[in-house]
Amino acid sequence: MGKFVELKDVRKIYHMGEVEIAAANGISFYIEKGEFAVVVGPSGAGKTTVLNILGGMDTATSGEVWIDGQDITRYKGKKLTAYRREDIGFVFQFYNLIPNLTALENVELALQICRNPLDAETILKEVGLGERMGNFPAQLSGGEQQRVSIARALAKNPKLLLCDEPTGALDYNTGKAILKLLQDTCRQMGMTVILITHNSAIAPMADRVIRIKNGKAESIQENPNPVPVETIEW
Amino acid sequence: MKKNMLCKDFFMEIRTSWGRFVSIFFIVALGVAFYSGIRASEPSMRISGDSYFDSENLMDIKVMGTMGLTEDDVEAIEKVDGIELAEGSYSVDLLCPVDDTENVVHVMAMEANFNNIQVSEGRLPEKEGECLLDEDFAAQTDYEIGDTITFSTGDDSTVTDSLTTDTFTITGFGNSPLYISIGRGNSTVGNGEVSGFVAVDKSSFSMDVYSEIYVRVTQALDTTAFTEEYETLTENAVQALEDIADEQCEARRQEIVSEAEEELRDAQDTVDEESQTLEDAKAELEEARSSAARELADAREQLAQAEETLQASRTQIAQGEAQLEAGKAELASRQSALTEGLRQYEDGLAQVEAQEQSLNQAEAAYLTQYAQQMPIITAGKEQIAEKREELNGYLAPLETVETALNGLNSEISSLNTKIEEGDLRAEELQARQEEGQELTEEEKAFLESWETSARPELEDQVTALEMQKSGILQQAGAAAGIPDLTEEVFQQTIQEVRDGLETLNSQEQELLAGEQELLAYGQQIQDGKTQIAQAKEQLAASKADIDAGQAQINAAWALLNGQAQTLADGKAQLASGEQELAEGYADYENGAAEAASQIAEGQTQIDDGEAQLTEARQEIADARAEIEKIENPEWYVQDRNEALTEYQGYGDNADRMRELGRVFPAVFFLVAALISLTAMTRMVEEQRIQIGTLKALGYSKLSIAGKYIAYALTATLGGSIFGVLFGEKVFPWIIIYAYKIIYMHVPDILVPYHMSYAVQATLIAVLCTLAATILSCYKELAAVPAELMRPPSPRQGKRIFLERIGILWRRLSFIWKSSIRNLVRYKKRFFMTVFGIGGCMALMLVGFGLKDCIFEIPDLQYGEIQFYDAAVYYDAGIEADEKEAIMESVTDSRNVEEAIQVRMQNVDVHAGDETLGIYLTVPENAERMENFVSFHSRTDDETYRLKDDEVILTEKAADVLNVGVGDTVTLNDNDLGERELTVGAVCENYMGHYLYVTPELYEEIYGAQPQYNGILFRMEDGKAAQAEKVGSTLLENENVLNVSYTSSIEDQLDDMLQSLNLVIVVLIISAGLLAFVVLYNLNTINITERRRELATIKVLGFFDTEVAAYVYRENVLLTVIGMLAGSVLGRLLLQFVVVTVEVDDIMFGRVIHGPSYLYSILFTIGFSMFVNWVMYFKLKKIDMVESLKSVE
Repeated sequence: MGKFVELKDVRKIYHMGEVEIAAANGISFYIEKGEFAVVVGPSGAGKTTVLNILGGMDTATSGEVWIDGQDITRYKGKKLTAYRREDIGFVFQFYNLIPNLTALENVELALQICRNPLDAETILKEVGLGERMGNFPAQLSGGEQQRVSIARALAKNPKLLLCDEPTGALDYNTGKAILKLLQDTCRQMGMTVILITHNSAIAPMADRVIRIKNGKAESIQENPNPVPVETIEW
Repeated sequence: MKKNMLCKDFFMEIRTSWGRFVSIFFIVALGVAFYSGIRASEPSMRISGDSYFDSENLMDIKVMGTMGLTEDDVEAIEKVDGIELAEGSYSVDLLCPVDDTENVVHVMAMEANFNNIQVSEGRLPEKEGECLLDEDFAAQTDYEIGDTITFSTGDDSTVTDSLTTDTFTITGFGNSPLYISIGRGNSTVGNGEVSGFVAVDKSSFSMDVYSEIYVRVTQALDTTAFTEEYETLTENAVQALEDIADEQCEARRQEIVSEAEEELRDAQDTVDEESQTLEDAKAELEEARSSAARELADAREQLAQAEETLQASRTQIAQGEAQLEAGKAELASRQSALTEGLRQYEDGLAQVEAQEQSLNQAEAAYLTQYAQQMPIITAGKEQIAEKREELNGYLAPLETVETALNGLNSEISSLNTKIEEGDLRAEELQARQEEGQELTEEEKAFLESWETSARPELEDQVTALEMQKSGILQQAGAAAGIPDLTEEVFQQTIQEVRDGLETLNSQEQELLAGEQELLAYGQQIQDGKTQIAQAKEQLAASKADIDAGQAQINAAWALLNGQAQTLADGKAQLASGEQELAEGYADYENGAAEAASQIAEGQTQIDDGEAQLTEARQEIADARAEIEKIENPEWYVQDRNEALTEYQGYGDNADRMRELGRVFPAVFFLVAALISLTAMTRMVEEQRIQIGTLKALGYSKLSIAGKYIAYALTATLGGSIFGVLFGEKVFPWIIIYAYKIIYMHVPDILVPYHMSYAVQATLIAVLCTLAATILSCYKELAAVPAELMRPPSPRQGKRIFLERIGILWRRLSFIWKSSIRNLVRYKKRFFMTVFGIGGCMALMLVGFGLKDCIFEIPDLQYGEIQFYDAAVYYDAGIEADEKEAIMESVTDSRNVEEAIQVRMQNVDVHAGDETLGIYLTVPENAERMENFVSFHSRTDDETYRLKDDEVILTEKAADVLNVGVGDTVTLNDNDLGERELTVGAVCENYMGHYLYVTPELYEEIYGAQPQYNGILFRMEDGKAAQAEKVGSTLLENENVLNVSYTSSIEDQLDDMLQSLNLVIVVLIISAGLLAFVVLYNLNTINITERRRELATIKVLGFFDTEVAAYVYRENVLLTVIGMLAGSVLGRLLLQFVVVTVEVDDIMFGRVIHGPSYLYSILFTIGFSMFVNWVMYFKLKKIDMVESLKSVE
């Protein structure tokens, strides 16, 4: 398998007046297609920057970001939006569902801008929400909301699923269930998943663990035998 | 706020949320500005008016008396309590010629202390005969400064009854505070409508009593016109004046009666004088008539003579011409004779010359002959002479014998005779004797002698003689040698001698003849010569004659030509003579006609004079009767409202502004309050964590709330002050400026600040925002800090009603679903936006709708209701046949379709407590009237007909009188008292008030047939433009007072209504501001609230435009709903505004036209789009990273 996602010496420098702050200071790593990758690091290490750049929400100051053979650092404006639209599925820490759309509608919202979407109801059933499709986010629990969020991301049939602390706002068990869902999705659909978390306990379940610290990829560790989520405790 | 850090936080808050602060500031400013501004317009209008009135010394009260007012009255009035000043003045309504018509003008004297005239051009009149003309009136006419105007009265009175002269010189144009607008009031003169005023010096009036007294009320200057205070002051003064009126009137009556009696005496004298004059005039006319007849006869005579003379000279000329022709012919023949003579002369000359020549030849031949023959002739003569000698010798003896013989023979023959006679006698005597006759003695003797004696004797004598004879013969024979000579032989011999002689003689004769012949020949030649000489002489003479003849002919030609010239001159003279004669005839005819007409005129004048005199006598009698009847005069004490046209209208307009001020600003205020409420609620909600923290830190509720209260207070107070400062200056100015189009003579716009409105507006604004702030703070502060620090539980998504309608719902895309659910979810925002946009839409709709309602008045009034093209008004008091003549000339005019006679009369009608001046209109034929005026309902399609027991009343009048179909109205008439009429129908009408009555009903009311005083006429389709042509022809008729065209009224109205455009612009700008502020605020709040949601969908891959569309969809929905709401609100508001703004005389339309909706919608959409466009950039700026943040 080739390098499906590759970051080469990515730097992101913010200018705060005269002070330059390097949120990412030469991060390089790669992920292969179908891998479940976890990016871990403490707060402020630069993992959100990586996520932003990978997700097309921000652009790198320098370096290259190759996704499926395309260098997205050269994208700007509409092309970047199109990249987000077609290639990326995003799972937020706080779910970010549209409050006055039902679960199904939230999924469909994402689908209607997509070129090659999956069926919303099927996806929702797959994430285990077959019964609650007609509910509004406020009527759903956190875990259920996150499932909707994942369903919304998956339904777009993206190349890359980006998850930002998907368990951050969830209780332990729910968190585990969500992680399981993500891992299963990765395995069953062959989806490349990048999960960003500060919780290094999750690392063993990943195919590849990238540790970020002080704006640099401290270590990249391939895990030939990832463990199922159920076995992980934290 | 004592705590420094909180204080700093407060200022930091303002700085960081500058947008929110400013939006509260401005929405409050807008609300306050609008409220205080519109409200302040009312007092500002009054103050502007009052300042003008005070500065120009406008009278407070006008006193008029039915019989004039005297100096005594002025003094009496001045003595009344509460009266500061009184001054008597003069005025009269006269007709002023303008183009072809005559307009009524109010001529008034200028007063020193009242009603100052403002000169806009030129100068004030300074002396008698000068005048200042109403500026507005002058603008409608061609009068210029320096022109003169000659006024007339329009009836039989004269201008100089009231003025010293009827001709005035214009010294300037100007305005009077008595007339602040276009209206100039009514008059009893002319067409009843005063067109303008004319100010003259007091000295130009010749009236002996004042026509009015102007009064100033004490302290009135210190109060503002149109206010309660002023009204009360003047009302009291009016009351006080009315109290003294009776007394003064009684005195006046006495004066008038005595004066009238004096006048009557004078009049009687005058009439007597006049009748004498008339008699004189009659005599004069008679004389003139006879003298004219005489003069005409003379003239006729002269003309006849002149014609004769001309005839004679015509004949002469003809003769002259004939003579001339004859002369010419003669001259020509003479000339030809002369020419012939000349030719003859020449022939003659040639002959003479030929003869002369032949004569000369003959002479030569003669001379030769003469020489040959003459000697022969002479010899012959000598021979002859010899022979004769010889012969004569023989002859002489013979002849002696012969003589003797002859003697003897004769004696023998005589004796033989005597014998025979005697024989005869003897025989006879014998015969007688034998017969027995007795013979005489002698006879007897003879007879006896004869035979015996006598006879033998005689025979013896004869024998003796015989013997002698033979003796002689013997002798002669012897001598000659011849013996026996006998008588026979003798005879023979003698004969022979004699023959010889004879032969000789003939020979000599022959010779002599030859000689004679020769000599004659010579003589002939001699004669021929003489003849030629004579012929030559003759020819010369005839030549001279010919030459003389030619000269004569030439002279004759010259003479003839001269005569021809003379003849031509004569002809010319003749022609001119004829011309003169023709002229003479024409002059004569003219003279005759003129004389006849003068005489006729004189006769007419005399007849008139007589009629007048009779009339005058009648009048005197009448006057005498009237004097008996003179009642007490009456005083009319009028305050400004009653005395001045348009004055009250100005006050009413101010009142209307007050009404408007109560409605319009309320909309703004409501919106402003809602906006600041939302903004403050939002602010407090946003800062719940901060509030929680501060609370946890132990700050008191007041300290925490203080920040928000102060924030709201600062923004609101600031906005209020700014709004007051701006609004109270700008809005009243614009409104008064707009009104100045009607009240153009109020010079200055005064817009002082009105603290009451400022305070009111500020208080309302501050209270609203403070209440809103405290309310939201209270809610938050009531919660425990821990709860505050948790994010608020998200609002639940809710299924909405629409979802139940599956068919519809399923068709919507999620985005629409989301938008619709959003609308329902954020109810506050929903209502705010709908209200804001609806308000905007409503305001514009009112603006445009007001324009529609007013602008359609002329179209409706003159297009659909009174669709006649012009009205013709008769002169007062004309006869029926004159009316008929006018009517005929109208109907006969080109392009006139139809005409109808009407009577129009202003009457007071009342119902309940309301009284209204209405035009009572009586058509000559009720059914035909429907071709000129349409009686129909405004609200439905019903049309009405005039009936004999009911009247049709116009809508606004019915409104004002508060009557409907079936109700009765009361007609007030001075003579007849009150007459009740049943309203049969209420018809649509916009301008003026009309009460339509059939002629039959009129007769029933007034007991007399209606006297028609005008004609309405309608042109053929498409020929309406020709109406003025017809009208101007009609105006040439002196019995036509005036013609008014509906088209010109329409134009005038249109001009006036243009002023409304400004009001509409103000409304549209205000509406736009309102829409902008509201939408901007709400959108800002919306975007801020939904920042995370928007960031999320951005992350999901929505393009910027899609994100914007996501937001705009809601805005579009809100705008549409807002517009719908606005349409309803606008209509309601317009109803209110129309009813409030309507003037008594005019009803506005009630319908907003399609385009107005369209414009309002387009403007609203425009404003909305503008705001959304601004929002687009805000949306673009939303950072996607927001989506990663936790819920606040």
